[in-house]
Amino acid sequence: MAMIRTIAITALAAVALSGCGNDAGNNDMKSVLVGIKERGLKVGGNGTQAAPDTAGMVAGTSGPLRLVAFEKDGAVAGIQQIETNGAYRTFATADRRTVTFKHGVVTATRGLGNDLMSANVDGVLPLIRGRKAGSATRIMRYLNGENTTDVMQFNCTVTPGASGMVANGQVRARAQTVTEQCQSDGQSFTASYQVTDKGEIVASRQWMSIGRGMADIKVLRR
Amino acid sequence: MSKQDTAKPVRAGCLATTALTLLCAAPAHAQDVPSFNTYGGPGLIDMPSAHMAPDATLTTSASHSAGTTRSSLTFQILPRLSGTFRYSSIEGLTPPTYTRSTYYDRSFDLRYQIITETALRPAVTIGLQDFIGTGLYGGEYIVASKNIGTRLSVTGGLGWGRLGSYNAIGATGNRPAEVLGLGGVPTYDRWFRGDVAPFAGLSYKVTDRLTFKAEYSSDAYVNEASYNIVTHDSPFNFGLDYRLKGGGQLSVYSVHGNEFGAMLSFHINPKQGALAGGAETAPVPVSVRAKGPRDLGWASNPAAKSGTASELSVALQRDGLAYEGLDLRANSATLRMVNTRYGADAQAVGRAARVMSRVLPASVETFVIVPVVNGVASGAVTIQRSDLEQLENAPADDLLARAKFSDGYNLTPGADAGIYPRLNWSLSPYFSMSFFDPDSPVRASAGLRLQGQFYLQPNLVLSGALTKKLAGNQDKSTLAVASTLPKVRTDYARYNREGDPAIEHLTLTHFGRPGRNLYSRVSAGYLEEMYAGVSGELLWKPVDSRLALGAELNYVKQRDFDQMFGLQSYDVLMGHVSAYYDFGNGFHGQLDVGRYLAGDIGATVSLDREFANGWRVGAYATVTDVPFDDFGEGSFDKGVRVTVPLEWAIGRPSKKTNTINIRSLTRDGGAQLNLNDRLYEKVRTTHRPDLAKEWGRVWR
Repeated sequence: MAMIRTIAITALAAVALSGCGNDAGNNDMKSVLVGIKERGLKVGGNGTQAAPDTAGMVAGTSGPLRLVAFEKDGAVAGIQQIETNGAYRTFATADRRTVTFKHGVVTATRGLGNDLMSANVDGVLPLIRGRKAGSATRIMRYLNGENTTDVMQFNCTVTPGASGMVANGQVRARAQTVTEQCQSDGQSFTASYQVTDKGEIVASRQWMSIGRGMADIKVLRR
Repeated sequence: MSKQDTAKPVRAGCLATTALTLLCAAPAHAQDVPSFNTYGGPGLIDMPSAHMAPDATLTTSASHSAGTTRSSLTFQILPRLSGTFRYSSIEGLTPPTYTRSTYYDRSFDLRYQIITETALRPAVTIGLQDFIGTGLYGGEYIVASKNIGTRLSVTGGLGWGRLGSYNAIGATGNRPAEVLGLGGVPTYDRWFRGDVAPFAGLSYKVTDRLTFKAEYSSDAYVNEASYNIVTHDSPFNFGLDYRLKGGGQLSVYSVHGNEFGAMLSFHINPKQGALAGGAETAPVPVSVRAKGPRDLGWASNPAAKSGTASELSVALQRDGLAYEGLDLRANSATLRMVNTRYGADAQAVGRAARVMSRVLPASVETFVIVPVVNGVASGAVTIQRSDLEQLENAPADDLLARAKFSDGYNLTPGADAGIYPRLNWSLSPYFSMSFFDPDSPVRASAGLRLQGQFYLQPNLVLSGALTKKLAGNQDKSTLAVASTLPKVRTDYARYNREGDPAIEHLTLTHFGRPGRNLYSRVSAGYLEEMYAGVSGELLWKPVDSRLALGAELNYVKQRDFDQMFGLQSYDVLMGHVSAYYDFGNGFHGQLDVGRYLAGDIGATVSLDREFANGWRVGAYATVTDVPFDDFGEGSFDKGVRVTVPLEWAIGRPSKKTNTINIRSLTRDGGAQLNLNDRLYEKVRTTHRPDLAKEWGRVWR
């Protein structure tokens, strides 16, 4: 009975979506189904590609270029730099979703769902870029379902590790792995960075949000 | 946003939203919600427990056993206070003078946790069950519950009234039996009086999904037994809860030693939306100006100015913001725009500011952004461009501290030529429902609605809506409500029956700004489904204020039942003065004092819990000089209402909200005019208190 009602209601909801006119306020009902579909938002890609065509991305674009891959849903996208603001650099996908970095550490995302609204990574940045062991805090801010801001403060321990060659797109560099273990009330993650001797992060694995999880980020062109 | 009359249709979007709410509601933390009982509150099977659901949990549930069906809506008003509205039907309960074979009853409960649970002490809750009503389910209790380990919870308590009807151990005074007024009045003369009986029970989590419950019930079902609906063989009831994937609860249980029952409940929480932060695409980033001297050559070049304006218009359009005008000066710019997309005006302001940073000449340092409401300026937000550049990657509160909020009165440019007149129209299906008709507790119909607004000027709009029914049984209602008052609302069944096609409304409305902090509205025409006439309103609302005051005066005539152009003879001059207050802690109150549709004089008190995402859950009551005896069943008008923003349910931007208004009964006393365009709710959205609540979205 409840099942039948749910189906009936869903059907009616679908009916309510169609309709015509020029009224923007009314037509947004159409976005309802789209909204449901996009709940499992994919950023480019279809989630199954094993090796994205980075060579094609590099050849088809100019300017700073990075590759971001989300571990949770397998979505992969090339992101191009569209703006800078001081030390912050914002990269965007072709379909208008952005990731902002400060010296290679993610400080904000937009349009990914569960977006990181802003972050203070000034404590951990010198450790990571300097490939030094140490502890520092980082702050990450999110909008919650109520539309207010949740602030997560992490205590992080940075540890330098082994060195090796990194080669992605047009970037070839010798880099050292630096791990950053972070802990807050009820949440923890371990990020890792490939850092050159000049303090440049050329590849990384970073935590975005509870909903988005970890992302692999590679610098394809500086 | 319009008020819905329960016996009248609850509109399409609402249903879609309700359904989506169930489909999309994030199940997060559903495991924290305690087991619910057949009355729709935290408890065992029939007996209550002392547990509370997480703050703001909204639960809908339906239970059935032995001819009794209870549907309920429970809201965790505060972490320690919850309220329930319940609609019950009992087959075969036919009190004297009652002519139907099934008894229908509405009831309200309140529960307050007086002691919270710790490692050592149990939680203790006192509850009033069916405390304003005819008292069919009337009972009070004090109950203690304690979790022992992670799986076992034990409960014990004392009950009065219905909950003191089996094996009483004593009595506290006498419990009066007669109903106060015509029901619907707090039954304070009975509370915690009469026989008192103990009850107890336990629940044990067998697995994370399956819970076993057993209870010793102090409810003898005296009334039901006297009509042979229930045979009370045993006080021991047993049940199993199964936790559904979406966070719901499916329960089966045995009661009275001889009956089985089942129950389904769903929990949603306004604090947990479909997708936190939304799925909409990214805003454009702030464009930071190069350092150095600012060129002012453009300021004396009209072509450059108009080129800037049209570039701005196109860029804003991409973000769902409608450009209407720009006052561009050498060092400042005032933008007039309409937010057509975002539920949070803070987000619209933030997006506009970033677009401005990319388009406007570098010498422009001060951005004044005015999202116009009803075609007139309301709140204006002033942001320094340097602050925008500096704080793009800082917490949103930093920008809030530097932004200025002011009245847009007299500082907002007019709309550019060519934008008005403008027509908005749509043809779309509608779906409407009405509840609580004893012949058919839920009625529904579906059809098409053609609606449009012709804006002669930004603030002068001719608006209309026409509906044509295609299917449904709402027009089959033959319910005739006896009333000694003028039948100002109780003919709703006839309006439903004969209004096909129906002109829902056809009005000419003018919105104005008579002065600083003042807003006005004058409407004339077919104002709502049952009334036509003229309506005027004046609102005082300073931009920074949590208090607003309003006055409304209407002269209306009752419309013909066919809802076309004809009018009936009944007319009334009515209106009220209102005070609105945002308590600042998530609660909002409103007091209206005045004359209602039937000419009765009185007041309406409303209290809503409001969430930053647009959710509202509230209750209201209207008491007028109509004696309870003349008002009829229920004694006075009261109800609960829930507003759900579509944005919350779908995780994408939308300004649509849907309000479900559950009123205990539709009567003629304390009846309000259902106007579409009352000022306050729209005006407040661009004022500081509302913008500050949702300011986290400014950078979204």
